Formats: sequence, structure tokens, C-alpha cells
Amino acid sequence: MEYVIFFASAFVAIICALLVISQKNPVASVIYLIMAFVAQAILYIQLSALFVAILQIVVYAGAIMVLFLFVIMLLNLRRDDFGPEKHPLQSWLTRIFGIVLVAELMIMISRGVGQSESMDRAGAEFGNVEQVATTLFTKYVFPFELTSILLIVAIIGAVVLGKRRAEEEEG
Amino acid sequence: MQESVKTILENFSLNIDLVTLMPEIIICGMALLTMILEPFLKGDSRKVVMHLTWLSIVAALISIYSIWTSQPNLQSLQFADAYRIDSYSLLFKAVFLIGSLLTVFISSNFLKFKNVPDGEFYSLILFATFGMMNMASAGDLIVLFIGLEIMSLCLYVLAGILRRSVYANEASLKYFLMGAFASGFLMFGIAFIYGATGTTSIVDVIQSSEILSNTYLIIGAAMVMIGLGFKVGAVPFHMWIPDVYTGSITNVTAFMSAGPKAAAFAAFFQVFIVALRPLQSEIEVVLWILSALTMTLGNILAITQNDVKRMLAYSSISHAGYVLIALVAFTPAATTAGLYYLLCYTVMNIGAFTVLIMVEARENSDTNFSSFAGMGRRYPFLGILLTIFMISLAGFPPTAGFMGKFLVFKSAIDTGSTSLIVLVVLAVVNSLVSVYYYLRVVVVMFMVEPELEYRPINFATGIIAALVISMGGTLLLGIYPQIFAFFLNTALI
Repeated sequence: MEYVIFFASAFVAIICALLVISQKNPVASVIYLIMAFVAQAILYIQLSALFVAILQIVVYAGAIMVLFLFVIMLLNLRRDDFGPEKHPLQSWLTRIFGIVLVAELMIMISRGVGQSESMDRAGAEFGNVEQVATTLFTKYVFPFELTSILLIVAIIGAVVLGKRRAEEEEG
Repeated sequence: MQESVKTILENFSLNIDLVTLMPEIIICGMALLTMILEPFLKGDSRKVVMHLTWLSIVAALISIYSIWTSQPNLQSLQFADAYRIDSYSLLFKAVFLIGSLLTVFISSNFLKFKNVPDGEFYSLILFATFGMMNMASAGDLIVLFIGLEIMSLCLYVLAGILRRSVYANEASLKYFLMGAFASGFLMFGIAFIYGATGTTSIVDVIQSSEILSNTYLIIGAAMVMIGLGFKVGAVPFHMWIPDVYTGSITNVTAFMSAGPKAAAFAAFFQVFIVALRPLQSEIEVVLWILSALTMTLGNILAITQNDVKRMLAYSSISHAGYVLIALVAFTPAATTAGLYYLLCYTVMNIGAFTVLIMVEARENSDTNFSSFAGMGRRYPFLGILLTIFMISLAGFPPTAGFMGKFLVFKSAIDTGSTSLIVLVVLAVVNSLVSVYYYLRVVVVMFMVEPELEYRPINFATGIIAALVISMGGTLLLGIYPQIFAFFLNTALI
């Protein structure tokens, strides 16, 4: 059963990742990216990294991708808005870097993943919600609360710069 | 697991002392309150926001004074060592508050003149001040970073608050893009320091005798230096200053050049003199170069300016160079001298900006040197005030600027190192060069006839209050530094 879930979600993740770069429509790309993220989240759960999985869905698939979608839809780009054709050198560089990246990955995998001698294995409780919460609400409680002020400032700033005022428009 | 969390929480103490946190509570609370109040106020009653703002700043200053007198050798670590309140950080907070107070005084009429919505303005000033206070009191690099971001976000918006002006938009966007980039460097540097020492606490880094990786620590220190160097406007990270200072509305420029600069220096002092003490010899060399470049280039570029606002922007770069000398010296006395210099600079620079605002707040006026023509004859008293501010900025006795420079240079020479003496000589030469452009304003003011009929200057209450405070400060800090002797007993470390 474990293997079935692993291969299913890995398969979905890879297919979706390929579809992200092969789609012509940016909105469809983003939606495939969301699916890829969700499939990845399932892999995280199998690695018993529950908190990372939830963050993956809430932050990446949820917040960041919705922001992407909004930007793409607001800009309403057409095919010819993307500018002239790319320089041939650019596409060659892309290929070279892609090959280097895959080669690097192969080397890493052949050396064995997560079995480096210099590093200890993370404990079973590492990175679960309880641990994150305990650190967040004990040691880092002040910076954590301070972020709320930062967010308020960001909201006020966005409103100040973004809103329209009748009396000001006349001037 | 359930039990263990419970025990952790039971054994954990935040160690909060609300009395010593009072200044922060007042400022942050008032910043939130002004946002809530503002929509309910119409017409003339909107002035309430302005009055509440300056009253809250005065209240925060009073609470700092009372903490200072009741607990002379205060050393308190709060919120699990994330927040450090000691006499040094209290003095820094007083400097920020004085800068903000003067800004509020000069803003009220000028905002109306420029037709800027004022409710959010005061709220953003207070939030920025709150961010600066967090930077000065940070016991943890993360608190320092978040404080810096709170301050910076407010400044990006304040720079562009004059939304119809193309220059203000340019200033805001430029500041935002480059500032975000610099913040990225700072964050990355903090991550490297964490990687090298296993802690983000400023108090811990100094104690960690076993640094895991010196290379990573140096990379981290370099990145933090880039991030903070951007915020203080040190050459070669100064590119944004002229455009942002010129494009922003003038009272915001006055604010930016005082408090935030002092806050960035507070962060500089804490990170490099407290946290990264093991790297002293490496840091000194880099800071020496930064300091020499900053004061020289700032001065040379200031000479060629035709706009007083832009001239003051470049001169603020060179002043950052003088303060950096205190960092190179690396002694407790130097940290005190640097703080004294920042207080002097805040008072005299906002004073100069106050007069600039009075000149600008006339019909069809700008901030060119020619706008000052004839002012000295029409308003001799105002002319004398501006002359004193300019003399102080140039560093002549008996003004604050002289005393500040004297203390910084003295602390550098007292270390006895040759390289520092060379740096001080360079600084003195630079101060002499700066006399040229500072006194040029005075010359234009008293000796050049205005091209058109002289347009009268509007004396508003707030402006007069700001002038009185900044002039009083400039003279007191210069003539009677004895009454600020308590400064000299206070040093970082």
C-alpha cells in the first residue's frame, strides 16, 4: 500500500511538473504547478514530515500560487506580449544547465541519499507541529508577535499607496 | 510528548518587565490607535491625530527618562533573551524619539501645503519609530531583522506618500527594490551566522568560543555588512540616497536622514561590536575602507550640487562615514561617541531641514540654492539660525557638530593605532572640504539678491517648536556637553 501511494503521487508530481513547462497557457501552467505541489505534499507525509506537508499545501499551493494566478489574470498576457523570440544562445544555455543539474542529481543519488556520515539522522519527532509550536511560542515568541506588526504596516502601506481619494484626484 | 511540552512551558519564563517596555508600548499602541481614530475624524478635528502623536512621543521620552533615573545600571534580557534593554539602547531610543518628535512638528503644516493625507502619515512615523526601537534593543538577530523591516516598510511608503509626484514614485520604487535586495542580503547573512554558530542570539554569538565554521561566519558577516551598509548609506551602497532623499517630500527626507540612519548604526554596533567580536581584526579592515570611501565620496559629490536638498542628501552620506570611524575604533568609548554624534546629527540636520521646509512651503518655490537668495536680509533671525545649523554640520565650535566629531575622533586616536590616526586625518580634511558647500548656502542667503520679489515665509507653531528644540539642542550639545556627561558612563558591551 505504501508503495502504491508513493508511486502514484510521484508519478502525478512528475507528469504535472512536465505539464507546467509544456503548457502554452500560463493559467493552466499554474494549475498544474498546484497539483505538483499537492502530490509533493503527499510524499512529505510519507516521510512523516507532517508539518512540512501542511506548509507545502497552505503556503505554496494555497497562498503563493493563488497570488500567481491573480497576477497572471490581472496582467492578461497574450502570446505576442512575451516579446521577440529568444536568443538561440539562451536555449542552448538552458539545455546545458539542465544536463548539469540532472548529472549533479545522479551523483548525489548514487552516493546515497541521507546517509552522509557527517550528519546525524533526524529524530522521529523532528519538525513536527509540536516541536515547531514549542519553539515558536517559547524562544521565538517575541519575533513571532512582532511579525504581526510587520504585517499591519504592510497592509497600511499598501492601502496608503493604492487607494484613491476624491479630493486628491482633483489636484 | 504531551507531558514534555507541558513541562517545557512550565519551566519557561518570558521574564517580561512591563515598566522597561513602556516606551515601546506607548509608541506601538498610539500607532494602532491613530489608525483606528483617523476614520472617525473629519475636518479640523483631524488635528487630534497630530497632537496625539507628538504627545505620545513626549510620553515615551518621559518614560525613558524615568526608567533611566530609577534603574541606573539597567541590564535586562526579556522574552527569552530576544529583547535586551540596557542604558545604551535606552539612549538610542531617545535619539529616535527626538528625531520623530521634530519630524511631527515640521510636518503638520507642510502636509497640508502639499495636500497629503495626514492620518496614515503619523501612524507610519510611529510604526517606523517602533521598528527602530526594536532594532536598538534586539537581543536576537531575528528581532533585529524584523525591526528593520518594520522601519523600512514604513519608509518605502513614506517616500512615496506624495502620490501625484513622479519623483516621489521614483523614490519609493527605487528605495523599495534596492531596500528589499539589501534586506535579502541581511537575511542571508544572518542565516550564515546561524549556520556557523548555531544561534541567532546576539548575546550568544559572542560567548560561543567554538565557532563551527569561520568561513561561514565571515561570509555571514560580509553579507550583514552589505545589508546594513545599505541602510546607513555607506559607499558603495549609497546609490539610492540622492534620488530617494530628493524625491521624497522634504519632511520625510528629514525623518529618513535622522532616526533610521541612527537605527541602522545601532544595528551595526550590536552585530559587529557585540555579536561578531571574534572577527574584530577582519571587520576593522573592511570598515576602515568603507568609512574612508563614504566620507570622501559623499563630500566630493556634495560640492557639485545645485539643490540644497540634494546637497544635504550627499552630506548625510559623508556624515555616515564619520560615524563609521567609531565602529572601526571598536572600543566602548567609541560606541558612546558614535551615539553622541548621532544625537548631534539628528538635531542639527533636522534643524537645517526645518529651514529648508520653510523656504519650500511658499508659492512656486523649490529647494535650489537660488530660493535662499535674500532670505538673510528679509529674515535675519532665520538666516542666523540656518547659519548655525550649517556651521554645526560642518563641525565648527561651539556647536553640536563639533562636539560630536571631537568625541568620535578622540576615541579613535585614543586607541593609538596608526591606521585610525590616518583615518581621522582624512576625516578632518573632509570636514574642511565640507565647509565649502555648507557655507555656500549662507553666502547665497546673505549676499545674493533674489531674482524676483521675495516671497514671505509662513511661521507655523509646529515649525517654531521644531526650530527652538533643534537650535537649543545644537547649542547645548556643543557648549555644555557636561550636562550630557551621563552619556559617557554608558557604553555598549
